[in-house]
Amino acid sequence: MSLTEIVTPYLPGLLSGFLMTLWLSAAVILVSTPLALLLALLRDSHNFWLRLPATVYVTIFRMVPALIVLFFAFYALPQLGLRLKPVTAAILGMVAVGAAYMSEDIRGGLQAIDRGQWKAARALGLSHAHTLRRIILPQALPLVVPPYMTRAIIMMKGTSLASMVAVGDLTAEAVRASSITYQPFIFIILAGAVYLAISAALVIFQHWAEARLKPAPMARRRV
Amino acid sequence: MSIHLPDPPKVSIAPMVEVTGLRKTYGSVVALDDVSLTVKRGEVVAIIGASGSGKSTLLRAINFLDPPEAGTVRVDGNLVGLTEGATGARRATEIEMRRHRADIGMVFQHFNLFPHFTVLQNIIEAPMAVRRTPKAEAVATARTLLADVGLADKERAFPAELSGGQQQRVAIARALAMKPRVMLFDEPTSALDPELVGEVLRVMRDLAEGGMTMLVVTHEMGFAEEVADRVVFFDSGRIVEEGAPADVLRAPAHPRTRAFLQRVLRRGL
Amino acid sequence: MGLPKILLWIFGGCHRRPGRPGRPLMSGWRTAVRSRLRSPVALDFSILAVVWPALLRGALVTIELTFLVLLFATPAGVGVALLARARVRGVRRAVMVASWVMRGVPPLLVLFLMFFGLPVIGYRVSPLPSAVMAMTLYMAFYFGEVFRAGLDSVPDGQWRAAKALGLSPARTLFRIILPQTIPAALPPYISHATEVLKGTALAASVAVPELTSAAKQVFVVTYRPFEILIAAAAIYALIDAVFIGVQALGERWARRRRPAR
Repeated sequence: MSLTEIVTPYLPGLLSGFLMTLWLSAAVILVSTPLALLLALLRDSHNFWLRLPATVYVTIFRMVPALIVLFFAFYALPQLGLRLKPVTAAILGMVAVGAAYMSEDIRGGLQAIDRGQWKAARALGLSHAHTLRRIILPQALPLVVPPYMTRAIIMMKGTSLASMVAVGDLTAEAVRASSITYQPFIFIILAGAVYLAISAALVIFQHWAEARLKPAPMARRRV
Repeated sequence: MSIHLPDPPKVSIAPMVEVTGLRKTYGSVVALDDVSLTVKRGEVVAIIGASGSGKSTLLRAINFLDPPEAGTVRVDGNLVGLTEGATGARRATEIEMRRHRADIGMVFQHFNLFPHFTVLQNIIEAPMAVRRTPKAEAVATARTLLADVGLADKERAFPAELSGGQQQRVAIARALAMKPRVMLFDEPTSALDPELVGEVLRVMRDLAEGGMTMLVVTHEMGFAEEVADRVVFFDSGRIVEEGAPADVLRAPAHPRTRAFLQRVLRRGL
Repeated sequence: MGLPKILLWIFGGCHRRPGRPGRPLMSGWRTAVRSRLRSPVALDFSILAVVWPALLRGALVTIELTFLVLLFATPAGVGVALLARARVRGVRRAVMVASWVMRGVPPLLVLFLMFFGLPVIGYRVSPLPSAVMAMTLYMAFYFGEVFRAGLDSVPDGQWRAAKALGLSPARTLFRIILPQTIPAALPPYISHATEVLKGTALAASVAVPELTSAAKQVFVVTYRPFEILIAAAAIYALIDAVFIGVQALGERWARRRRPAR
């Protein structure tokens, strides 16, 4: 049997798996981002009672395997009366974990900004929110992009976990096809190549974003 | 590969270091251009010259850290980096090369002490590993050397806990622990704060008085004049002028030497 | 789709209590949570008294798996890092490509490839070793990156000084250079080691009886996923704490041995 003959019957399934992987990745990354930013800001807050829950949340979700969290969303929430579709449960679980990790990446960028910037803004009488929005975040953005994109790629790869809670993503479809045909090399390597292509696309996006966000040349005083 | 060698010297008292026709290039830059130099037993030679003139490259070529492309080095009559056979010489194996290097002590500008070892461990590591010295003996030697360089109380300290001058003195003790036939100093005081230079130079002077053969790349003209038996001036990978310190430093013959010395003295070094 | 349902679940209690139509939102929210925790199935952690032997067995397999992967992937990572600095350009290229591939595909896929692939090419391997092989292969390149950065953090002068003293390359590497990579490499190494620990949960997919699959097996039978998953998560956190301890020890070791100057 030729390669095409083996693969053709499974193409529709693989295609829908591919689309599911894209949808999961987009949803997880896009929903996690604002949550992660919020967590990062809370963790650096001056108010202990804001800092504490954020720190506890991030610590717990970074210490536990993502699969456990996914299982929790899929199997344990119904026990509390919340019955979700597999895809929703998967996204919920992956966002819960992803936001915790991503908040650390964002925090790293925020902390890299010189404390003098905060002091200078306060001396000018700018509010905390204004300083953050107009002074700190714009400067932190170029620093955050590389770790953020690395995290986005990890989260994209992580969507393969959804296959373990009955979501028909690319991994699930590839495994299904290989266990029917006994041709794991063809299908799993094919799926691997697709994942590689998606991460390559994300890397290209990263380079584009980095180029656009190249920090404006700092004003230098003449010496 | 076979390299033709000049006949070994017939006199029984061979010079301690004999460098012949060394050549080394980095891309299109000629770092060593046919350099020959002979150093007698117990002689102290100061090598001076602008940065980038090839003086540090010479030291690294002598112990084959940066193997030269042509030329030979003999220490106490024995070839370094090459092995003499019936038909000529071949490149020494890595193991032979290690034995050659063990005879040549080297002190670096940035000390290069091993930061995760205590002072004592820094000194005994190589004698035990390379010379197979028993630990008790290596430790005893190390303690004597530490006392000689004035750091008897620091054997349990880690390098980061010492001043630059103390680190460099430990580095000298570490090199001496291998009982080398010759010591190479690569700008040993250039990375030190001015007030710490003196303690290192004092140790080096003691060493010279003790009869050690030394090649010292330095910017310390005072030390060169006082301690060295001979000063060699390097420019663009060549030895431009050499002679007694008083002659080279006080009355340089070559215009390049004069220009260099003027520059150095103006800077007050 | 999912979001309204989740919100309805959280705030659902506000309207459901009969006879109290006008309650303010906050107190309604609180009763909602309380009622969620009470019904339809009350939480009952006493189930753990029954299932703990199964979880313990799973935890031991998880520890075994983590240990074996670290045991093999650490030296493999050093090897990758050394090859990535090899003099021959082809070698460096090959390592770069392999590293890019391994870091661009999901670990789950590598696991499946080993699990389904090895029997096809004629090797019958039981689940645990195939999971160890897959995760070692996958992590070697991550550790390779860690050690490459670690090696880069050691100044060239250290190699040169060791060479000038006549130390052998192997002794230089193991006694002089690698210990000095600890300050730079330990934090990322530990964080990758915890990734290994958490990643062992994936082995549940290829029938390795580790903690996550043990948890699943017992909650499928007992219908107590909430309590059992919380317990499993706590066990993972406990093992994680060991790594944090190791890191603290390593940092204490490195404190006096920091690079001078």
